[in-house]
Formats: sequence, C-alpha cells, structure tokens
Amino acid sequence: MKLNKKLLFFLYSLGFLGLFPWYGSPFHHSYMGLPLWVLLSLSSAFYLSVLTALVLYLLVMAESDE
Amino acid sequence: MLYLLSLILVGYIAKKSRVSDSLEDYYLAGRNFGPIVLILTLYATQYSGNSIFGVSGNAYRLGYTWLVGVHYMLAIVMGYLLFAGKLHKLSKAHQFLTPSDYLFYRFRSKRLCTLASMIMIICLSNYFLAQLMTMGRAFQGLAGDYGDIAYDYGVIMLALIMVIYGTLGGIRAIAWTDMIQGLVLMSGLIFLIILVRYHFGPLEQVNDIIYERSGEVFLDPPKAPMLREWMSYMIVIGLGGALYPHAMQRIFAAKNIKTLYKSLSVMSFMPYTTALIALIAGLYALAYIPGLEGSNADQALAGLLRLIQETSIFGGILVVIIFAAFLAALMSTADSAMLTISSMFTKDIFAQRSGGHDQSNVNFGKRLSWVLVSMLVLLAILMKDHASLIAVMDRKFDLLVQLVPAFIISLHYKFLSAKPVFYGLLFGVLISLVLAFVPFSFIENGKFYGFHPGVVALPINILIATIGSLKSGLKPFKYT
Repeated sequence: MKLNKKLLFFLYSLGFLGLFPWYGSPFHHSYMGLPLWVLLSLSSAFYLSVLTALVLYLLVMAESDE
Repeated sequence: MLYLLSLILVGYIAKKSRVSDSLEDYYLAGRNFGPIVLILTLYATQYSGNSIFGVSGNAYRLGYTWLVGVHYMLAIVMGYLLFAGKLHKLSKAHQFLTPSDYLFYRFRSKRLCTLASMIMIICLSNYFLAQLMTMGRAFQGLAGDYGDIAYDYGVIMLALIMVIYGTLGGIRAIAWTDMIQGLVLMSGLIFLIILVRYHFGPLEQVNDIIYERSGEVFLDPPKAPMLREWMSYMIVIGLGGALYPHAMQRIFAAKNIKTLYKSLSVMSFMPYTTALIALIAGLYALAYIPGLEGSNADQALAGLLRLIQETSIFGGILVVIIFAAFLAALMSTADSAMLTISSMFTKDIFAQRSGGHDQSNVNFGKRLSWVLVSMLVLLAILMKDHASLIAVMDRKFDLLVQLVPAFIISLHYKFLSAKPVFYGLLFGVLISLVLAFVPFSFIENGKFYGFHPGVVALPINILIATIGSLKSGLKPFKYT
C-alpha cells in the first residue's frame, strides 16, 4: 500500500481537534456536571487511542509493500 | 516469595540461553524481540511503580481531575510516533546499542554524546531511585506500625533479587521477567478493581462519602490553571516518556519495524487497564482512608489493601496477588533502568576508553550494576521521608524533554548541526534546573504559570538548535 506519511501525520494532527469538547474551555467549568465531564474525559481518551492505533495500522500496511 | 524466586530462575535460564558474549547479545538480545515480548516488555517497563502508586496517590490528592493521568500515558505512545520508526530503521542499519550511538552517527560530536549520556544517566538514576522508594512505600503502607523498618527491608530485598536476575541474563532476563511481570500486573489490576468494588461498594457511594466530607473540592471539573498544568504534563510526559533511554533500547531491540508498530498500537489501549484502575483505587482510598497528606498520599493504595486484608481471609489472599502485581510493576521498570544505565556507562564511557573486548566490557557492566544498585538503595533509605513520587518524577522529565532536538528534530531536519544542538541542550538543561530549584517569586509549586520548567526551557533549546544551525551554514545530513 502506498502511503503519504506527511499527509497521514497532518490528518492525525487535525484529529486532535476532536479533543476540543473535552479540553476546550467554554464547555468545562461552570455548568458541566461531573458525570458528563468524566464521560467526555474517557471518551476523548478512547478516541485518541483509536486514532493512534489506526495511524499505526496504516504504517504497518505501508511497510509491507516496501 | 515463589514469584520472586521464579524471577531468579528466569535470570538463570536467560544466562544459559545467551547466543554470544557480545554487548549486543547482553544488552539487546540480538535485536530479535517479537511482538508479544515487545508488547509485554514495553507495557511492564512503561507502567512503573510510579504509574500505579503515583496515579493513585495523585487521585487521592486531586480527585477526579487526575483522570487526565490516562491521557498522559497515551501521550507517550503518541510521542513514539514522532521518531520510533525512523530510529528503528537506522538502528538496524548501523547497529546502535545505546541512544548515544545514534547521536554519534548523526552529529559526530563526542561532547554532545557525553552531555546527552550524562543527562540520560542522571534521569534514569532518578527514575530508578523513584522505583526503589515506591517499593519501600508499598511495604511501609502494608506494615502499619512497623512501616519504617518494612520500608528499609523491602527496598533492600527487592533490589537484591533484581540485580541478581538482571546481571545473570542481561536484557533477555529482563524481557522475559517483564513478560511474567506484565501478565501478573494486568491480572492483579483486574483483581483489584473487582475486589474494591465488592468490598467497598459502587463508585456512587464513594462519591457520596467524598462529597459529605469535602464538599465539591474533589468532584469539580478542572479550572483554567489546572488545564495549563495538564497541557504541560502532556508535553513533558509525552515527549520525555518516549525518550526514556531504556524505551529507545527496546525500539532498537524490535525484530522489525512492523513488530514495533504493532506493539505500539496495542500500547495505545493499555492506559485503560492500568492508569484508569489505579485512579479509581485512589478515589476509593480518598473515601475510606482520609487524612493522608503530602508524600503519605502515595501510600493510599497500600493502605486500601491493608484495610481489605484486615477484614477477610479471602480478601487477604487476593491482596497478596495484587501486591505481587505492584512489585512486578516496580521491578520491571527498575531492572530496565538499571540495565540501560549499565549499558550507557559500559559502551559510551568504559569501552571508549578501555578498548577492551566484549567479555570484559560485559563483566564491567555487571559489576557496575551491583555498585549502582547499592548506592541507590542507600539513597532511597536516606530519602525515605522526603519528596512525593510525583515531585521526584517531575525533575527527570524536565531534563529528558531537552533531548527533543537531538533525537527527534534531528531525525527529520537534515540541516541540524552538532554545535547548536549541544548549546541548545546545555542551556535547556540549565534553564530547567534554575527554574526548578531557585526560589523565584513567579514560580508556584515548581511551575511557571502552570508550566513545567522543562516545557519553558524547551522552546529556547529548540530556537538555539535551529537558528544556530541556520547560521552555521546549511550542510545537509544524509541518512543512509
């Protein structure tokens, strides 16, 4: 599989924007209760895990053709 | 006890399995780690005593906001993505044994290699010390009134076992014991979460107890200063953790690049089986063992286990299994650090000067491990009542993160040259240390506006390295 690694890492970096609901300040402080905050924390971590594993999977696929 | 003795047996079998007397076989096991060994050795090495006792201790201090500990461990895997693949390929082509071998290949500068080696050795010694102190704290927490004596005996006994199997079989013994320790750690943590839930009730009950005692302090989502601190931790742990010298040696020891990537992809899900469980246990401790302050909070988990042990025989048996898991976490990290320090001293310093053959270098490395462990055991006993685990860890990451230009940027930016990288590293380290240890009025809790000294110094370090390289003429490096 041919893979443009620079494009892949650019897209991966863009994927970090998915963390905004968790890290972005407008949502955090005053009116977000604990259960929702915990849910967002864990789901954003899991989102990052899946994204990272996906990038690594694509890198493995790319290596097999080299 | 059976588990501890089995480690020595593994060390002996690993000694018998050695292919040659070379440094490469002793420190990298012939660069032949398959996916399962690599996953378990990375897991057991990355999830140290600090990540269990430190995370639960901080959950005890800060409550739910320390949920970010899961993200920190994930950040390390993301840090690997920046350089591991390229570094692995070069290590295969040029037979790197220690991280400094890469630096010499890339920059041909002995003083840069020496400075980087010194920084890595200091950081690893600090890390090793933290593991020893955690071992002591674990025994201290379980022993109740006899805590002080238990601390000393715990540190000495575990260090002795570790140095025996480590020096017998080298990295092969360490990786094989890491496999056992990784499996023991994983199953122990699963037992832990089941046991605390069974013994203390659901998490809602824990929340109620904490709320009644402390109001909203531990149940509040984080405020802006804490968010800045998180970001800072993400950077220092993500980059510093990936640049651990013993982690880099595992990158060198992978069988091939596909094995490395596969192992890292599994690692991206490991925080949920470890950091998250340690955090939940810390919250249970906050509810049921109030009043631990300062560095004593690091004993929260051990205290929780003691409470379970005292109330039922079945619980007592399970606590022994869980305790073995924590010892596994501690020892697997400490033994890797010990072997890497030994390899750097032996290869980067002793072998350069002595020019001796591999067998005498390996023997020197073994003797060095004994001396080093003895000195750090003494230090761990003397420092018993000082510095919490997280405080000890912070200083190490401040320094490690300064290696980013030398190891990460240099792999991607071919114009980076030795002299500016050396001065960038030197100034980065000096600024980090000054900010960390001089009592400036603008430094609060060891941080500047919520950021670690290392994070403040890193942009200056990078600027010196890159602008200096631009000014010294653009000579592209050829990665072959």
